[in-house]
Amino acid sequence: MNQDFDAEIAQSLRSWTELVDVPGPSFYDVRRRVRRRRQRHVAAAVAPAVLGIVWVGSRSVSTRNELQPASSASIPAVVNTPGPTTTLAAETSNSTANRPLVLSPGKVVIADASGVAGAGKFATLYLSTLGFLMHDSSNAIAPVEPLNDTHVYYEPGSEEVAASVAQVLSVAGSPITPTPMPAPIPVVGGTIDDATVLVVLGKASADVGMASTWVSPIVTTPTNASAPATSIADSDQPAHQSPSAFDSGAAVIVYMSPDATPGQIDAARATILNSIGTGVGGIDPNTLEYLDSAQAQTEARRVYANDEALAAQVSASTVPTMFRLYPTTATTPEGLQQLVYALSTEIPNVDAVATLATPSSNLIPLHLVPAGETKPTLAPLTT
Amino acid sequence: MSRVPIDPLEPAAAEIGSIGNGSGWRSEDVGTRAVGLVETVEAAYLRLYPRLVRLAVLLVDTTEHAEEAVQDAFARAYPKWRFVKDPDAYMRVAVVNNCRRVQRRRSLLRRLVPQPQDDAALGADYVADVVRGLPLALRQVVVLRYYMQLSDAEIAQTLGIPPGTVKSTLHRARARLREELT
Repeated sequence: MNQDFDAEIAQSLRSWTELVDVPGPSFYDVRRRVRRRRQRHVAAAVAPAVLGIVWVGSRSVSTRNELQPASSASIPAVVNTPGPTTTLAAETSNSTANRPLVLSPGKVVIADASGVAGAGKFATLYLSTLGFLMHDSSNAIAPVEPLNDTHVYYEPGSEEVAASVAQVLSVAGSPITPTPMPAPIPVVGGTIDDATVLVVLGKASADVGMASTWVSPIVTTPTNASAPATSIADSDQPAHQSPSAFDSGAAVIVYMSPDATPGQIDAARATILNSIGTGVGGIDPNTLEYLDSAQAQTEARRVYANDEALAAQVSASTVPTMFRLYPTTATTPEGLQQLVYALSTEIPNVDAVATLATPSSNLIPLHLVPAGETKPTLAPLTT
Repeated sequence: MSRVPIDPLEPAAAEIGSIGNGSGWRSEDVGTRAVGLVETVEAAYLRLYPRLVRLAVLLVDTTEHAEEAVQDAFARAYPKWRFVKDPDAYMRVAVVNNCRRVQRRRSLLRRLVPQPQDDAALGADYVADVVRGLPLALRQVVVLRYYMQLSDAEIAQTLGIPPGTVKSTLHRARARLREELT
């Protein structure tokens, strides 16, 4: 009886699947997916960093006057130098907080003791955006207890990097003083692998939104070493036209297909402004920014100045041209998802769409990739 | 040239997974040791594709998503192909996992945007329809048992669950099918 039943089910499934019309396999499809996966690997890593740079710049415009205490009126500026590492030059030098940031030697790890979801990841992103070499903790380095204040500890030899990290993370009016690494190290397991600077991120640096509490650096990317360092606030990049950019807590990058023609790029821009902009998401047209391949690569190389392996992967094929934009009304997770979905499906020649959200926005960073041309898939951003 | 079983983790076999040798099989002779013949990823793809798509279509409902699941599984396997000892079993697991992923994403997207109905082009079969209407946890066990003809142990290995769970799940699936079909 059972055997007959089993045989009937098996026969039905076999017969049914035989009716399925399976097209002849073409390995081209797999090759294309492999290539896209490689591109996305780099692109997804670049996205938060590039967005972070813009966010840092926009915050510096909107908050430099009201958020900075008089005692820490320094705004370190990122400057590319001919040397192998990126250094940071101070805009002014009238206090200890004005010191140039030192990025090496040392590797920084964040142990999130704030209890604020995503704060550790955001801090890691923030510091990596500035050029610090970060340990990829992936929540593996956990503090022993929740803390209110942020502490910075260092191993011998990394004092200056620790001081720079402390300078960047110092909350207005409450500077952080780095101290030597205690024994045992105050993380679960008592080890921080090969990291030499430990940041135990306290609630004070996270619960009101790190964006509004940290001293905001100005990012500059001169095209050559001899060019004068100019701040984003003084430049004419579109992001600065709208100091409110990122106020919704999210930004979106639309990666164009590497083989998109200039005409297709223009069509995509028009679609974003005329269709998507008035549709589900709502986009501030003044913040729509286009980075061509060279600009995107320049940004990526600067971001990866301390990571030769990633920097070596930066090329026209791995860092496609992109649009950056900021949603004005998609300020809920559902709204942001709808916006990302619309961008990925309604704009021709889009390769992928990624978002970045601040921890305080309660939004989910997403990475949406059109699989094939018409079947988008949605997943949390994994960077 | 002898067909010597090799350990894919051996450095000598590092390039075995490369694509495009034409024959679908690659012969390596490194130093004095004949490395033997190992199926390339492209050859495995061409050989396994139809059957894996048919397996996937039972799990994800549409041929479009089934093809996507299979192609994506091979794309993920491509960089680590040299470590794959049993392509059939490995790709079966990869495709089933991908089908789960596809179903999860579809359920998320379904909440956001109206999704097209299941593939209307597929033929109608009452038993197949009932099977495809089962919850995924039951459906995948039924498909692996009845369509792929796998043993309890092989199903357990494919799904990463204990054999006892396979038995109990299959028991529940049978009861459900019997109820629906009678």
